[in-house]
Amino acid sequence: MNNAAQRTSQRSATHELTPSASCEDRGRQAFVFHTKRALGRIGATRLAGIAPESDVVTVQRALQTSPGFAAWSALNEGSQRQMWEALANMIDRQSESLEQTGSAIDAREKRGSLHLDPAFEIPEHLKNTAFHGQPGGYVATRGPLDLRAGVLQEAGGALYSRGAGTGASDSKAQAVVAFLKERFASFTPRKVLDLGCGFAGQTAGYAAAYADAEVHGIDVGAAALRFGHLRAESMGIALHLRQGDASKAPYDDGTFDLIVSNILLHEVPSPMLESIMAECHRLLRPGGIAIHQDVPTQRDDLPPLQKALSSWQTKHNDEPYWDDFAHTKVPAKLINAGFNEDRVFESYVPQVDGPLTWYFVGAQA
Amino acid sequence: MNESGPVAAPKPSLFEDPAVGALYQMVLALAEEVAALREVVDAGFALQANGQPATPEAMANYVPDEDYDQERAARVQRLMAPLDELLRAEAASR
Repeated sequence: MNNAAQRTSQRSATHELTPSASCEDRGRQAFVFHTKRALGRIGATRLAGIAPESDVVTVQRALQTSPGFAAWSALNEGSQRQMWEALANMIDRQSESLEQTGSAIDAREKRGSLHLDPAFEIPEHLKNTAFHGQPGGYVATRGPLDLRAGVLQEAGGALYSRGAGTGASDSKAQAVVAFLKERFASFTPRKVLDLGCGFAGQTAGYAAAYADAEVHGIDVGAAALRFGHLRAESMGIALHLRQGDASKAPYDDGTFDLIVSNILLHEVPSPMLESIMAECHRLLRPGGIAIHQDVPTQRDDLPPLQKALSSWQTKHNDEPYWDDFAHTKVPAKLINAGFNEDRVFESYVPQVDGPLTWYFVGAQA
Repeated sequence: MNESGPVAAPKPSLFEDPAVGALYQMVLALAEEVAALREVVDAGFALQANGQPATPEAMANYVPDEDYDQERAARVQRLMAPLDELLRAEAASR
């Protein structure tokens, strides 16, 4: 992959639809960034002192009765809200010019395609959840040219992850591609599907990594997809994006030889996760691979404090399925979906540029 | 602008007295305002020091150096120091 292609899925990617920050925007965003960094540092160094390691229940009880933890939680909640407010204000101020730029990109000759379905019924749980506090959630749409959900998703993801210590050149797609290269050295996909692709930042990364492949993405949010389509076109990348539900994907059996998802599984209710695994099995060609990258919360050796903090996400950060996912054995779901047990894999893999570890789980058909 | 989709859910109360939670949010909001104003003022002074007019465009395009980012970090660290001390003292008393 050349450097320009690599950047398409990185946190630092910029393009024609990147909103410009005023001096004041920069001050607000820098404040959020440093606050998140400071809270992360304080959490990492101090919380173990107030919640001695024993078991999760004891740790949770200690945290619940700690005034310091309450203060830390309040500031984390506030910082998250500030992040979205700062970004939403910056984006809303520029919505007209962003839409005009989007229309100009749309008027050019296309490499990829976008299929929005006006009759699409958004699943109830997505209609009602502003995941991790994103205003309007993933699905709000304010008209035929609206791009806001996608712009917010890209900007919020970048600022949040930088605040958590992730570097500017991190890319989830690059981590997946490197893992596949190591584990399945001779595997070269010709047709790729990214489930729950959102603004298609990672989808673009797969297209850059597999230059000869036809790369598709499916998501529920029209504005995020519209933004993702125009973002990719602006970068000269061919993506085929479609509005739809990953658990009822509108493609024929055996269409793809690589199916990926990035940070999708912890945001869906358990029955939907099972349907997604069944769809992976149906949509893969023989020898094809499904791989899902997500948060490493179900790791058995996760310390009790980390498990307790993981639960915090459900109550305090609009992550209603985070806890359920932490207790889900995804390999069992893949086997139930029809994959052969011997061909199911799971692994914990370091970020490309950052201190975190990702959970990779999947199977070969 | 009013939200057309879902908004963040109400969070469980963290403090016996909800006014304490409100106070934390007020302090954080105030600190953000100070940070934003400081950024604008400092950019204006930096441009003037270079003999450039502090137009909104020049200020938006002005990129502070890494030392300035360390100053931002230090200011936030000072804001957070009482929290760090609260947790340190709590751990010491256990």
